[in-house]
Amino acid sequence: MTGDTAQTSELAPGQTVWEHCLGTGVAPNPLYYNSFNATLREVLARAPRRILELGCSAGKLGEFIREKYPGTFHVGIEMNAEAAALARTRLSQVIEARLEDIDFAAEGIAPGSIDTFIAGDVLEHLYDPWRALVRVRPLLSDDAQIAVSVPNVRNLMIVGQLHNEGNWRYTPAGLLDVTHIRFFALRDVFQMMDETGYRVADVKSNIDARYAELYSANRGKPNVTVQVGRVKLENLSEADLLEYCTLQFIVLAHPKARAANDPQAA
Amino acid sequence: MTRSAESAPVRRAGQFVWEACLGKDATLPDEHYHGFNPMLLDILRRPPRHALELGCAAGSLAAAMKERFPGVRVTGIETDPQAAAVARTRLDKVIEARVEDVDFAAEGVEPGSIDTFLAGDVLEHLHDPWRTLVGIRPLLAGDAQLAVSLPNVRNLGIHARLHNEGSWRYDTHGLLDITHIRFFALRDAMRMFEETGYACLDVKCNLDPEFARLYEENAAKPSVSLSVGRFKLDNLSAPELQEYCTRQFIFLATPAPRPPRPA
Repeated sequence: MTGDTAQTSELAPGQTVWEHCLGTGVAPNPLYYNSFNATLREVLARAPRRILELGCSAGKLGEFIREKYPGTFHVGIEMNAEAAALARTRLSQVIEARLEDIDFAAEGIAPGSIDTFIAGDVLEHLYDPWRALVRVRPLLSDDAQIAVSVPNVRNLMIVGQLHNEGNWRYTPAGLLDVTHIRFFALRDVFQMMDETGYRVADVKSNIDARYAELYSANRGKPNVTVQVGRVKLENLSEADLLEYCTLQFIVLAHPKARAANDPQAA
Repeated sequence: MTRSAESAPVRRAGQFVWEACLGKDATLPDEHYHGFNPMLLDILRRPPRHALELGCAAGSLAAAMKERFPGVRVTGIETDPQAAAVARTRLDKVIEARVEDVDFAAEGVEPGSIDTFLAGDVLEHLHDPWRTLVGIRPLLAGDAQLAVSLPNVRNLGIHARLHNEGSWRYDTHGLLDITHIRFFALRDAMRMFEETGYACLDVKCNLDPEFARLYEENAAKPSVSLSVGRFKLDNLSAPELQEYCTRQFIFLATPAPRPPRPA
């Protein structure tokens, strides 16, 4: 997750970020169990019927989706046992495993049976998010919708910190959460979707509260210059400006039409 | 390894970077196993007697080390079976495992027995490089020397592309090699050593050939401005200029007197 939870995920005195957040026996921050990204529901283009959610945590997003869309069948994938146990009280089915280890047929999830796939702030934690997207594709119906959120590496906080202070500093939460091992700017998200067989239909930006004012003061101007300490970014389009002020992208995509020679096509 | 273009996996026509480099069937070409970074040996202050090399690949660095320091005993750790098999012909001992799974006592590596630890472009591939450094510390002699190289995330090329093209594009080789999952600027690397119980004694910069001229032309100035397209940096000190022009740092460190906190 990439929320503004940094201040609530406190280190013990003298404890380092990696001691706090990595390693065996490190429990995930329980705050994450109750937080979810509401934009993932808002970005959906149609009412979901059968949802597969990668990294469902304690199932709060599923609960939130069901408030708006009653009767959805919601399958969650979660590798943390504690979170999975909580999710079982909220979702139709929870698979407690890593995605690459799941036998979907054995779990009763037939090819083409999922109309909505959700991955909220999950792909950046995976070594191979590309294959994760490829792996779920056969489970999706041809007109399925996928809603994915990813933190933004082209964010001004990262820019300012690296170039003014000389730090790429991992933290317990936020954009450089030490559990993040993959980084994407908006173009990289588009490229990942394209390469793994999806076309992007919509992108929403979760504006970084630190730059909301900067964004609203400058949007609509043709060429914007942004200065952060010793860094200057010149001649930015409105889209560029928005990207620099974005904490996280929420992307809606659909499977690309299958090629005629694809065995999955039949 | 921060692979060069020549040592990158071969990408078939139409194949994407992640297809070529990640996953079970990803193959590394032979060249990958023959390269090594001599700066890791140049930075050492004493001839090594018993070296432990993390990520020894096919043993090219170890072979060069044995040539330069006759009589040195080298133990390597390598996860790739093919590379480990070749390394066995060159090193005294090769442990084919992930570092977090190694039982050093069972492998006959005694506490305090290692006087030189080498990790050449390896830590950026690990999920928890911090615990790796903590984990090997008991194996080291009190005055052991560590030679570690890391790619530099504050390299100008990364940011010229991010800010002009809008892309953090993983590649088959180089600084954004898709197998890199950890990123460090110079300060972050120094902090990592400090937090894991080491004192840094020396840092060398492997200059990025792309920015070598930029560096030479500006190195003597008290304050430098850089401009790459729409991305501008003002008022850089000489060490900062050097950091932007650096491809990779090579560190020499030694265990700090203060033991690390229990992890």
